[in-house]
Amino acid sequence: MDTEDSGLIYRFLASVARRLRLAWGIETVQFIAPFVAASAVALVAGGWLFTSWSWAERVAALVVGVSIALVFIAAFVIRVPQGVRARAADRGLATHDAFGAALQFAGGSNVSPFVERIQSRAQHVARVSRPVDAVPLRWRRRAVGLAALGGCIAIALALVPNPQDDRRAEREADQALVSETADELEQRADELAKQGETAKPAVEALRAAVEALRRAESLDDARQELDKRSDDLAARVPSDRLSTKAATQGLEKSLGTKPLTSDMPPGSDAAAQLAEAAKSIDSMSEAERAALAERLEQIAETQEAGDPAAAEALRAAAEALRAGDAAGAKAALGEAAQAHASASAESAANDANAQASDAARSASERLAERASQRQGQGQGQGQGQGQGQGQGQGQGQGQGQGQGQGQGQGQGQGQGQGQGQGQGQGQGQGGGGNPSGNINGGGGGGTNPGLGGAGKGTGTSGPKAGELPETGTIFDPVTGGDGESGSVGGGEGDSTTVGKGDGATQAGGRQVPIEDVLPGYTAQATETLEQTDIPPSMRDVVLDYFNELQDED
Amino acid sequence: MTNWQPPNVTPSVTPESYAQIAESIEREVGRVIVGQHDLVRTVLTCLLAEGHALLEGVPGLGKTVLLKTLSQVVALPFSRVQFTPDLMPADIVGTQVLEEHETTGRRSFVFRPGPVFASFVLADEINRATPKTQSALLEAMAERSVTAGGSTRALPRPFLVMATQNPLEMEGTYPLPEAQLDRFLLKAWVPFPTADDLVTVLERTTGTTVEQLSPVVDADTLRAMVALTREVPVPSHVLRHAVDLIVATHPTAPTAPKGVQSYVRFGASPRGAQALILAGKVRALLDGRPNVSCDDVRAMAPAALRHRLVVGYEAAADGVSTDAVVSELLDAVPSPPAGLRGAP
Repeated sequence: MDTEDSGLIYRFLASVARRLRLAWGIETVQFIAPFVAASAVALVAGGWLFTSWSWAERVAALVVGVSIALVFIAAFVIRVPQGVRARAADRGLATHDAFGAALQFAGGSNVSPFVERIQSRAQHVARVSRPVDAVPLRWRRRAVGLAALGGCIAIALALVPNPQDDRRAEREADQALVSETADELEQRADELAKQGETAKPAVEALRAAVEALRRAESLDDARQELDKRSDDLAARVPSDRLSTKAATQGLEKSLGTKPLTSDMPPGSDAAAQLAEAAKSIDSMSEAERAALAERLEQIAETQEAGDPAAAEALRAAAEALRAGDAAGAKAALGEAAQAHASASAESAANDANAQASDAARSASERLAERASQRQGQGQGQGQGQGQGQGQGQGQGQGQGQGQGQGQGQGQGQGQGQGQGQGQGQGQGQGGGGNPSGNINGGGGGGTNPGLGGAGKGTGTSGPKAGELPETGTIFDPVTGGDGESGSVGGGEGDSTTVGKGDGATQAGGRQVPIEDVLPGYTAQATETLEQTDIPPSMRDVVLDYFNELQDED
Repeated sequence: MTNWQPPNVTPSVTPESYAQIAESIEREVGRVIVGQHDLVRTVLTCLLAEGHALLEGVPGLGKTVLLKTLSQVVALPFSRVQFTPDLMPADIVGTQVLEEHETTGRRSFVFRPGPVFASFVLADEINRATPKTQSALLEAMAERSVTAGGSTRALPRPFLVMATQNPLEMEGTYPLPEAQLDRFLLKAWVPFPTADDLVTVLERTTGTTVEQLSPVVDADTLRAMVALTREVPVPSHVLRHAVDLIVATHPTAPTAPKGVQSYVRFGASPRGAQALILAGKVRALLDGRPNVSCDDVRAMAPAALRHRLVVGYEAAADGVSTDAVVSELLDAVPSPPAGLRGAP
């Protein structure tokens, strides 16, 4: 047997080995395919069940791909000895062990008449046979069927819209909103930091809230965290903050417009004026001292509620001036200046805490609004019926308009129609002072959750908050009485009314001169602000409003 | 076991002519023996492997005619011994008789060979003789020699004993001991001929025409074929497979199938493995192949093992034959696989 003929057998067996690797790979894939398919189905099904399994489909695809890749890599590197190749070829081609015998008796003694014939026979078989026939690929119908079924189920589950996808999208949106809110809060903290050292505790608390917000896993967690931080900050603000602020700012404003002594320039701060007044007592005449004492007495009265320490020092200074005790007056004025400075710093810190608390609260409210919108979404689809009733009485007038698929009825002065798609418009007209009119723009309703209407209310007349009426009169609820609120609503169907806007209706009342009611209003407002839980920002607005009224007066 | 001594032959047979000669023998025998191709092949296999055949079948199926025909075809002497209870060992192996020389008048004992001194010996209804007489064949079958009168005499080569048993008449019989059964290379069932074959038998045997057989091979050629049979190489994994099969016939073996464990009392001896390989060699050559394969071994397993498995009464009670046990054995011990997933 020459070398070429001998090589024919080994070349054939090498081809058989390649075929064996392929057969091994396919066989192994078929063996593991049902398990891999089951794993993929379990993963994809888990993606349907658990919102946090957003990676399930990708991991399922990865498991399938990696499994197949590993099998064929193993098939590529697996060792296929010559004996295995020969036996496989013998079995596949039914050669009656031609290759096995040829390998075993290759190069043997030629004494036996069979050795050469064994080699020749194996070469003949190698020459006329194909490796494909030697190692046929076997398909296991059951395993392939199970794997195909599992694969189809997994693909179908992956392609069919997944209810968890919407939730994940919502979660991503929530996370984006939370992140955006955190950015805003951080920006607010930066702004507060510019107010100086007094705002430092509030800034730190706000930054801590930002960090907690970024760690929040859900919108509710973020809201709870913000509410907690807001409550903590609000707890730092004393209940008499506004009166202190009113006292300190009032003193600044009062002394700024009308200095204690004539030689002081307008605009000087209060503490400086008090210190300067103490220095100039010795050079004052009796009349000037009496006038100063009178002025200090008046100022003390304004500081009584907000800054009692300053008020007491100012009174002491006034009494000392009247008693001719210049030294005592100087000392009392110094104490008054110190008390005022301390109250101002405390007020600034309280303001910072209040602003931080307000920022956290506002952020929480935005998140709550987002949660509410999300809850409203998905409502109103389908058919719905809604009835709205609006009544306007008194002098108020309200008009509301809405559109919707639902049915709405309006009665009274208002007309309302529910809007199933969740958009409603309301228009209101009103004039007068009391901005208490409500106009409810179409509330959509439906058997299925849908998008509720966002109502808009616009007031065509009437003062806006914080603006003074153009006339010198003001609505007096005591003498004229409140106008009845007018409300027009699309009403509720099976879902909640989502849109709601406040507009202004015109409330009837007697118009009275401002100066007649301003003191009473101021006192009542100050008292109310100190007793009710009104957001700090709104307290400032009210306080500024009355300060400006007093200044006008 | 004794070492096999090759017959004194002049090699004149090639592996290719081996199958042709065997085919011509079968064809010539087939002129007399209608059908029974497997039986003829089994007996021929025993002849070429220089073993002995045990045939079991009802009377009248042509067992005697087969062996007689075979002896005529290969031109070798044939003798028949009808075993009966009163048959004596000397009736088989021969005896010393006192003879007087014609010229000298001197008297001396002379050995008169028995019927065993023939190349083809038909031991008809061997189970009817006593164990003592049966055992007289032991030495002849195993050693291919006979010891009588203090001297050992070699038997002619090739030497084939074909014993028959009647499975129906069990009364007054002496079942062959396991030691003697083990001496038979193969055991074959003699089936009842098909209707068509039977018609042909009637046509051939009830008329005036008698088939005239002519020898197709001489003794030397036959001895050369026997010698060539021994030279067939056997791959190691085929030897291993034969051993695995034999080991699995033992009920205590871990690889023994349930049928073996339940019904077999004693498994096959090493002679069984020898029989598998020798018969496999003949089968390979008759198939024109130069090597023995696992398929050859498995194909010869029923004939080589069915008389070597000693089954218990449970098998008889359950109606389980040794062939069924061997079939289960072959299922339990498959051919050596390639050893790789996905390989055939």
